[in-house]
Amino acid sequence: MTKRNWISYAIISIFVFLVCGFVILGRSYDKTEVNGVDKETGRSIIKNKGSDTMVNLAQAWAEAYRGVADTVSVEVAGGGSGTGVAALINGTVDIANCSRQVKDEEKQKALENTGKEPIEFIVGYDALAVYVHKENPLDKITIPQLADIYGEEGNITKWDQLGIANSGCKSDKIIRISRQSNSGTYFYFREALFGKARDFELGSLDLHGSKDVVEVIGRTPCAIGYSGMGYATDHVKMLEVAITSDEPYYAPNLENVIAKTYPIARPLYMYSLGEPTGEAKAYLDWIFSEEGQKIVEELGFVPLESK
Amino acid sequence: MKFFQICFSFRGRINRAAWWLLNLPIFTIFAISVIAYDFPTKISLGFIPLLVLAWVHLAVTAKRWHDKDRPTWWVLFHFIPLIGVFFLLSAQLSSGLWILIYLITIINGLWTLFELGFMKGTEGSNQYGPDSETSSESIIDVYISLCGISSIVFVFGIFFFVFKEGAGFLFGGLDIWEFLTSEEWYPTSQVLKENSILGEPEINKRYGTFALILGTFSVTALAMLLAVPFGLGAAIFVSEFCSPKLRETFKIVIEFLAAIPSVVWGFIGLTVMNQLIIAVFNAPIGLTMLNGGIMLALMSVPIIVSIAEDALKAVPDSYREAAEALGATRWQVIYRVLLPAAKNGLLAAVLLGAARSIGETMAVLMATGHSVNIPSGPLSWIRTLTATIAAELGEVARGDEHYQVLFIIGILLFSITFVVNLIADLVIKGIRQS
Repeated sequence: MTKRNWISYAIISIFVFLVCGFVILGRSYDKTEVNGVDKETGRSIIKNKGSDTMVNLAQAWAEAYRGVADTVSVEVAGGGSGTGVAALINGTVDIANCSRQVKDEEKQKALENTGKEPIEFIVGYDALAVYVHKENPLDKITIPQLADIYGEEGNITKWDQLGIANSGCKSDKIIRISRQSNSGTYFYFREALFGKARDFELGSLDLHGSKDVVEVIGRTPCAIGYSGMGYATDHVKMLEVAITSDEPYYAPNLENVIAKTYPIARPLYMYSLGEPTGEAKAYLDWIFSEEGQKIVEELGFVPLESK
Repeated sequence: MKFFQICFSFRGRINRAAWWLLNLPIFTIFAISVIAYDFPTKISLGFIPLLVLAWVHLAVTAKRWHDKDRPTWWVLFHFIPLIGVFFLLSAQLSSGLWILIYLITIINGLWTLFELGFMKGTEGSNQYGPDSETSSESIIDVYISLCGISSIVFVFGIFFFVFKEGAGFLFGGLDIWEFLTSEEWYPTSQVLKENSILGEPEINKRYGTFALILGTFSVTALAMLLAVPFGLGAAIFVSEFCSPKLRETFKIVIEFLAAIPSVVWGFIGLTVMNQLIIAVFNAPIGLTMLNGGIMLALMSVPIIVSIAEDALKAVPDSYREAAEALGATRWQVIYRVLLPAAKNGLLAAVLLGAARSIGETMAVLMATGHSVNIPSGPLSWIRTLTATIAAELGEVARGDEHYQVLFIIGILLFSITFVVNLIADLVIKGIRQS
């Protein structure tokens, strides 16, 4: 071995040794955060992630909470209910937002992975309104009718089968607007129409986003669709809904949802890993307070019953 | 010097340009990994390439010191900052010592950067090899071959990733025949199977992509039907009939068309075209194959025009002059001389336009109606493979069957593109031989 070779091998082994030591030490050291506290500002961090339906709400809460507790900052991210649940399973969030209930197998996975079970909180309600074009003469609809329009082997395909003459729609065909098959809204609407007994008929237009649904219906006289109550515009009409034709019809509005008479309203969930403690508990308590629930109403959702 | 010698050996000399060329990408990759992945607080497989890059950096640096007639061990100056961090992590230090370490680190960094990056090596040959400035050609070779290799590495890397995510279900459980020929796309069904055997209830999830495959092909075919005549016509007009001034204006306008983001096209489809199609065709809804086809045509025309125009421009003027000297009319020149002479390039233009259409996601997601439906005409609403991935991947649980099926659709798209490219290659080869 020549002298020069010897030096290069020595350098390489020192390098490898240093890097290994560096990495092993470094694992216990995190640049910005130690035990959920931001090193620079000294604020505690609550990580909050999940449902796109709830992301505006979560953000509004986080902002308002700044004024309540200035030692805490809430980091909000969207990405969909599934993303929130995945983060919960990986143990990378403190609170996950979800517009559907977490499934048992997902709870099981979280328990296996982190040793803690997700705890469920209902933080508000979102009513799904059934929308039609504003010139559609239809005013009300029943759940069985909706099931016959949307369900597999359903037999309502024309507007006159609902007993109306939809003059804006020359072909008289009902155009079904739906959502992509794994959105929380789709899950909930399917559950509300036929539980676990039936699937939607294929051939509906599965749009991407609550806003697009209302947008398209506002421009299409033949269309019917469902989306959050807060998305209504001047170009669409919300139908009154009844459980069966014998029952009374209810419009989607605050009073009916709070009174639980409007049939297609769903809870909005937040999940924590294990019983919440410390800052996360304080944050959830504040969300349930009058102040937190006022924000729910401001954003077009339905607050929990006032106690 | 050969590729491996330049990148990995601690012997020989290199000049400043080579040092920068090899180190800039390494610095960039390290900076990204520190910022994005919290390196070095997390250990993962991604760590191995970083170690390799660090080796390359040290080897190149050693050769740069040699260039200045310094011994190999001067590389050790690179470790001074690491030692500083080591202290920082393991021990509490007084603030005076702290500042000292800080100063040493910064001065050492600036000095080595200046010496290695900006100072010339010794003139003529020294004990480590001949003058480096005069033998700088080979580093460019290395650099260019690195660029070439990297594109292959990326393609295989992407394919590997997509395949890895989907492979589990592809070989264990998925009925491939049903996947390709059934139109029933129920990835999230909760309905129990009617004939489920006693014991475990089976959920009737169905993954049939036949309607999606038909959707992708039909909307692409329609888009090409609209885009090819307009695109090639525009290319002939721009290259043969325009005055130079008009040509420049045209090219700028057409290139501007290519700069519009696809989500904007999708939004136009969702709002303007939707109502237009309802009004003109009396259709129940305007979110149809026709709508998506028009949007895709508008997106692929700029590609077709610019590539076809280049192909026509590449035909030597002597061809045109010879044809005109024989008394051919302008139309005859184009039809009999230019088009046959430029057919390889024109074919490439059309195929690239088609590839753009097959791969497009956002515009078709918004404009075609995104509906699982066997297309029965231009006014039926459809769904494409790409749009399905885009719409559903966001909210699917990682590692789930549904998640894997979406990646298998990715593999399917890969194979489709591969076959299209292969056919294109064979066709072009065939044209060349005849």
